[in-house]
This record gives sequence, structure tokens and C-alpha cells, in this order.
Amino acid sequence: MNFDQLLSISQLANALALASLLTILASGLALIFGLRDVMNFAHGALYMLGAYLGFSVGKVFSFWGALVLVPMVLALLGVVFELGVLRPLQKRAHMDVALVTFGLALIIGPAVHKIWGTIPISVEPPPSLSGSVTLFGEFYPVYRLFLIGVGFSTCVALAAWLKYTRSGMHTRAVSQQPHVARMMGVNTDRLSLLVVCLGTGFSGLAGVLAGPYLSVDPGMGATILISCLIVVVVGGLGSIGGAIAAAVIYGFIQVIGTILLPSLAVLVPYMLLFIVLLWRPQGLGGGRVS
Amino acid sequence: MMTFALRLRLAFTAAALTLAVPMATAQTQGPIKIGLLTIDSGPFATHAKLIEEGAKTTIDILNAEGGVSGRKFELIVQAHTGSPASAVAAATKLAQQSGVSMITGQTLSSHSLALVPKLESLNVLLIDAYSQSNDLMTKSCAANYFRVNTPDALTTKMMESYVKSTGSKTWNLIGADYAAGHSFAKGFTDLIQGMGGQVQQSLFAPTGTTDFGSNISQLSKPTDALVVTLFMSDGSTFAKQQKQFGLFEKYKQVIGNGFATDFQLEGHGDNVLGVVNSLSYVPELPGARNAWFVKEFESRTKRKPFYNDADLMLAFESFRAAVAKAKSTEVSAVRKAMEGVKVPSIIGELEVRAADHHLIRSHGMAQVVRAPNGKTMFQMKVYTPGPEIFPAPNPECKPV
Repeated sequence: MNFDQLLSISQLANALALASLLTILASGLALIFGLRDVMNFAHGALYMLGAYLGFSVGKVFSFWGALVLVPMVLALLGVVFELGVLRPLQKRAHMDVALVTFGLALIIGPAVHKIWGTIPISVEPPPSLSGSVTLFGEFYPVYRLFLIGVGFSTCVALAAWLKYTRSGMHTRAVSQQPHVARMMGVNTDRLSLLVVCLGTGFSGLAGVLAGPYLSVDPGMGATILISCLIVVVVGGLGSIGGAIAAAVIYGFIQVIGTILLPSLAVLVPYMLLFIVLLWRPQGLGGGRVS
Repeated sequence: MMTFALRLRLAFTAAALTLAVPMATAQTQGPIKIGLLTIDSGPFATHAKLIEEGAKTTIDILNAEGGVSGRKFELIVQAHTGSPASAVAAATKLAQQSGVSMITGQTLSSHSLALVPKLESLNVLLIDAYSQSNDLMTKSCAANYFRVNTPDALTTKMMESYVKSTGSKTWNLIGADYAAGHSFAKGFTDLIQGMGGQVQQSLFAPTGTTDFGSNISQLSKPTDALVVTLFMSDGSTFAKQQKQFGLFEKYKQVIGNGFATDFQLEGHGDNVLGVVNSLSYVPELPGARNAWFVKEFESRTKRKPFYNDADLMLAFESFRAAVAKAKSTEVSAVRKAMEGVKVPSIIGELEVRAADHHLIRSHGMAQVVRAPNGKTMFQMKVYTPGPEIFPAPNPECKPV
């Protein structure tokens, strides 16, 4: 076992980079669940679509153009998702809606394969973020530091929106007491549209950010969705703060597992899920959209 | 005088015979059915379309050449999710419902190992063009199993002279955490130790690893050389992430096995520039039949054949030679004919070794270099004939 590797600054940064990507993605999933009570199984497919769109838009404009445009396109898809799927089905059982989102994932996946093919695509970071810098004596990729920065900024922005804005306050209210919030005059339909757009927009943002970090390939949506679901359940269903904490824990245990128990590393996140569900079934967070 | 019951029995027998004759005629006179297994989820799904395109094209080329004994081949594609159990279910469907007599395709080592015990009861041949595990030429040999691609033992043997030429004594290794990765790692470690060297770190990454950062950080305490045996999207992710860390620059030599492959080269970009990878085929290999194959393939697909396309062609060429020799498509007759059959192939006249059912074929090492058009291309550095690098048949292998 390589215990000395655990003290490496690059391993700490690796954990934070993975946590950042998961935080952005899981926040979107938690937001939609918090407000709509729906586990969106199409979230991984939307993230994959975001990554492929990021690749194509990046070729025409630039990485920075893709970083702005793709989340907006995915947010627009969120409008269709909310008005065409979630709202008409809001009175149906949770399982029905979850199955519809699963079906959407099954449609988006082959559509992406048809348009972009099945061979993995390599997306390079923009010139200003390529290469490595010395980080406490160790070389570390600039792009990963950028990813950590974006992940941290997203968390701060999301927390500020929820805490200090009227729509954020309404989101917290509706996720905790939807009937009371409605009686108090909160327009839940309009709020739901906003939150679903934010959620799908986050999946697009995560997809574009994942391009230069990971491989853009047809399996990326399914792989990350499992990690994301673990993060959301460990964090507490619908809890943003819990999802952020769970993403950081996930990143660290993944890195620690790879170093200390490489043959069992793939099982470590599931062990975390198992332990949290036994010890604290409601998850680590303090409740819905908190 | 016949009783009513006897007359009824005779009538049924006659009816059954009347129906059976055309069915038997159809099986011996229609197209020869070949099954193709593909994977439609997980990292290997990225390769399925190419495998399907390659198989359809090579079958089309062989049919245009006349098929065999006046009969054409018909390819039946069966996709599955990628687990050994789903591979067995898909092969069973091909054999029992589609009536194929031969199966090939995207068979990972774990799939072939799971299929081997079932082949005889399914009455089908598996002519493997994909899996690399050494077990399939030792303890897991089977009567209905044949292999035409390059097993790990061949790759490590073929690497031997190349590794010696690098002068590297200490090595790090990163491989896929499943049968093929471990099988290669064991063979490569034995090779290095046999040469007086040492493999200092052997890391294994699970299929579908998202972030190789922690593996790369561990490999950043470099040795003389690094060997990478990661496949498909895992290989792409690792290649890109190592570039960001500048990992390969820390090694004097980087060797790949199934890593910097031809069909992924464009996607890899400069991430694998300089890597020397085992590669069994390049379109530029000499020979009139190969030149004809490349021309026919390119005219149909608008791309040059990759090594997997060549391996599939070898599987079909071997099967065709055996059917011609057996003058039958009956599985037991073709199996017998496969043993020792001479195959006039795109890479020369080859032979299927009867002792372990392996096609004795050449293998090579090619380096990723800068192409004149600014992209990257393979340059064959070593290409060794099969008889010089194939290990002797293993006594454990008894394909009877």
C-alpha cells in the first residue's frame, strides 16, 4: 500500500477535480428532485449531449463560446422537458415519471451516437488552460485547477441564489412545503420551469467542462449517472449542501481507494452508499434544497 | 393387413420426411450463416459499429470473390450488453435460433472463456478474432475454439527483441483490471524479469474509469519505461489525462498494447505521439492479395482497413478454407478441416496449428509518428513472421 502517496498535493487536487464535476452535475439532479420530486434518469444523457455539443460548438467558436452557449441550449431543452414531460405528468406516480426520464435517456443516447459516431473524441483544453503548473513542487494540469475553481464558484453562486434571492427562497419553500408555498402565492409552475432549466443547464455546463478533462464517448453519460446518483442519495435526496459534501467525500474515497485498495476501488463508492443508508438513511444533508 | 394406427403412423412418417427433405436441402444449399457478436454498452460499445462495418465489408468482399463452393456467406449480427453471461446468451441465440455454424466478433477474453465450454453443445465453432488471453491457448483450449488474432503470449514474445533494444531495465505498468490486462501484465513481467529487469509498479484500472489522475500521480515517480495496456475509451481518457500531466515526457520509452490503436489514432491526436504499440497489421503490408483487399475495402467504406478488419478477414478466410477442404458446412467436418488447414490470406499463406487451434501469423510493433499531412500515423518498426514468435503448443492444451 502506497501510504506516502496519500499525502501528495496532486492527489488532493485530483479528488477535488472529480468532486467539482460531480458537484455541478449532482446539484442539477438534486434541484430537480427537490422541487419536482422526480429522479431524472436522463441527466447523464443530457450531460453527454452537453459534452458532444461542447465539442462541436468549440470547433466553430471556441471552448469559451461552448462554455456559454451549450448550458443555454441545454436550459432551453429544459423548457421542453418541463413543459412536455414533467408538467403533463405531475399527477402521475413517481415511478411513471422516472421511467419516462429513463426512456428519454434511451432516446438521447442513440441520437448522439447517430450524429457524432461511437469512437471516443478527444477535446483539448483552450491554449490558456493547457499544460501544467508547479503546485507545491509537483506538476499539475492547469485545466484541473480551472475545473476546481469553476466547481467551487458554482457552489458559492448556487448557495447565494438559494439564500439571498426571492426565487431562491421560493425554491426552498416549495421543496419543503409545496402546498403552503402555493397558498402563500408562490407560482410553483414558473418556479419549476426555472429550476428544471437550471438543472439541465448545469448538466450542459458539466458536459462542456468534462470534454477536456475526460474522454467524450457514448458511455460517459451512463458511467457518471451512477456516480451522481450515489452522490445525491448519500447527500440526502434533494439537498444541495448534502450533494456538495457527498461529492467531495466521493472524490476523496475514490482517490484513496485507488491508491490503497486498487482492486477494490470500484466498490468503494457503493460501500459508502451502503454505510450511509444504514447509519443515516436520510443522507448527510439537512433536508430538501438546503 | 395394416391396422388404422399403423397406417396413421406411416402417414405421419411420410409427411415428416416430405417436410424434412427441403429443410435439409435448404441448410446445405442456402447461404452459409455466420454469427457476429457485438457489444452495445460500456467502453467496448464504442468499437461495435466499426467491428460490424468491418465484418459486413469483408463478407461482401469474399462474396464478390465467389464465396465458397458456389455458396455465399450471410452475416447475422447479435448485440449484447458486454458481460460474459450476455455473450453466452447472444451466442446461444445465434446458434439455436439463427442456425449459424460459425461465430466471431467482439469477444473479450472473459466472453471467450465463458463460451468455450458451451460451444460443443451449441454445435457451433468460435473463430476468435478479438480476445487475447493466454488461457485460451493453454488450459481453456476446446475442440470448437479457434483463434486468428494475436494472443498476449505472442505480443510479449514479439516485444522481447524490441524491449531489449530500448535498453530499459526498470518499468512501470498500467493495465485494465480484467482478464486481458492481467494476462498481459503477467506475461510482460515474466519477460522483463527474464531479461534481468524489474517491473516496479503494476497498476490496474477498472473498466470505465473516469479519472486516471491518481494513477498518473502514482506513475509520476518514473522508471526507465512505461507500458500501457488500456483499451477503448479508457485508453482515450488515459492518453488525454497523461498529456495534461506530462507523464509520457518523464519516460525514455512508452510501449502500448491495445492502447495506441489504429482506429483510435485520429481521436488520440498528439496524445500518443511517440508511443510504440503492438500492431498486427497495417494496410501498407506487402503482397498482391493485401493490396487488392485494401483497394476493395476502401472502395466500400471510404477508409483503409484497421487491424480488426484484417483479423476478421483472417477469420473468414480460415473458415472459407476449411469449408472448401471439408466440402461441407457441417460443424464437426469443418472443425476437423480447420486443424492444419492452409489459409491463402491477405498477409500471406498461413496455417491453423492443429495442436492448439491457433492461426500461426505474423505480428509487429509500430510507432506513432507525425504524418506528412500534420496528423499522426503508424510506422511499422518490427514485423516478425508467426513461426518465429509463436510459443510451442502448451501441453495443457488438448482441444479434443
